[in-house]
Amino acid sequence: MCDYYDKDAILATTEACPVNLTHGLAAVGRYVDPCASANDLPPNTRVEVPFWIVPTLAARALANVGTPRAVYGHGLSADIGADPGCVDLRARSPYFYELAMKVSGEKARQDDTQTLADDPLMKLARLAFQGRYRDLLVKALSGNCEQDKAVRTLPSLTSEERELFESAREAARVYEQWRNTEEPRLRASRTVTNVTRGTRKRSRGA
Amino acid sequence: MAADVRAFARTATELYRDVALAEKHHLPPHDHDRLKRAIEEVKYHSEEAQNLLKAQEQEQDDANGELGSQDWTSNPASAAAVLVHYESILRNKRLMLAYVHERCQKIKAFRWRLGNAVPKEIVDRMAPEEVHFATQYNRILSEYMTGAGVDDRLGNIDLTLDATLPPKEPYVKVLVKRDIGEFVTEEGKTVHLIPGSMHLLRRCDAEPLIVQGVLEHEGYA
Repeated sequence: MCDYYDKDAILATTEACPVNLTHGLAAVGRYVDPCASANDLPPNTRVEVPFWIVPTLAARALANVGTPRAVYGHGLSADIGADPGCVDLRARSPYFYELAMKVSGEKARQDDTQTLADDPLMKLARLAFQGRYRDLLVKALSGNCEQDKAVRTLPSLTSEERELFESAREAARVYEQWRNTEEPRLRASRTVTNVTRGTRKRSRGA
Repeated sequence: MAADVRAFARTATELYRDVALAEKHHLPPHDHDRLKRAIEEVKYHSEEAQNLLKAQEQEQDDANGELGSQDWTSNPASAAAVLVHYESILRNKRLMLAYVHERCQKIKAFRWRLGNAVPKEIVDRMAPEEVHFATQYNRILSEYMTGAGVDDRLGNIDLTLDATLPPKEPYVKVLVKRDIGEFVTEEGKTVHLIPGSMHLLRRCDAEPLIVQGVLEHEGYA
């Protein structure tokens, strides 16, 4: 598996995904989903489990994959149809696109008649990305008040979009530097400055 | 069954999240306790799965008198439970390996950015094994750099210097921030680096000290 150590692949698969347990589940019900009604679950029970359990169960026809409503429901398609740039995707899931791809991949594998491209979840994710990508680049590359714009834009971006945003800004910075033909000033490493200032920056926020 | 709601890789997920979401330049302290707890959980999952397998075998032996047959079609709910335990073990393994891997990457990055002078605060956050890894990595990198000189006259090359672009100026103007006493340059001259004084140093001499925060870069000559 090429993404075994990949940070985004690992964290995206911790997101919850609803499944329909076609044959039930013995003894471990409440452990996989704390909201389940009992530990022994009868056939055709709906539970929410972390996504990493899903592929094994789905491959053996022990579970049917559903769409995570908390992420992709609640009028999301209407919001995205109106203005994709304004939707706070991060609040829904920091791994919005990755999860959509994984869930529709599982669905397509279970149902031969449906191709990946036809999946409504896939269409929704593509529509969202198309609409947001241009917006994102414009905001990342517009020069002067970039700090201000970044502060306002960043909180609603998924982690993949953040990466794009930051690479765009870095590219713009380096280009500017090259155009002004100034040599970069050498600086102390952030690790040293963090330690000497005694500031231990906390994690970037989940 | 031990009622441990923290099972199903939740501990390992927290463990991994800690280091994965930390800032790029920050190394969180090595979380030995959580790591140990995650290993305990793996043992618990393994035992539970074994119990389920044994119970199933027993049942089948009683039913048809055949030894060692494994047919789960009559009992899919237990089969699902075994799979859940099995996946939990694999997931724990992946998270723990990724945790170790991520930390090693960070430690390597420190060596490239800071040279030999990794601050004590960072070293304190490492596990003994990680300190060992750091010294060994340091050793092979130095060995490689000693051997990598294209030209014998160049001698040792410091590959960790930021040499993505050829510098326009060989000399840089620096302000001394911290007292490290006498400093011997590559040309063999001795410079007294007293805090507050300005010097014109060769870039290759100054760069590691600037990165370590001893000197501040004021401009080019």
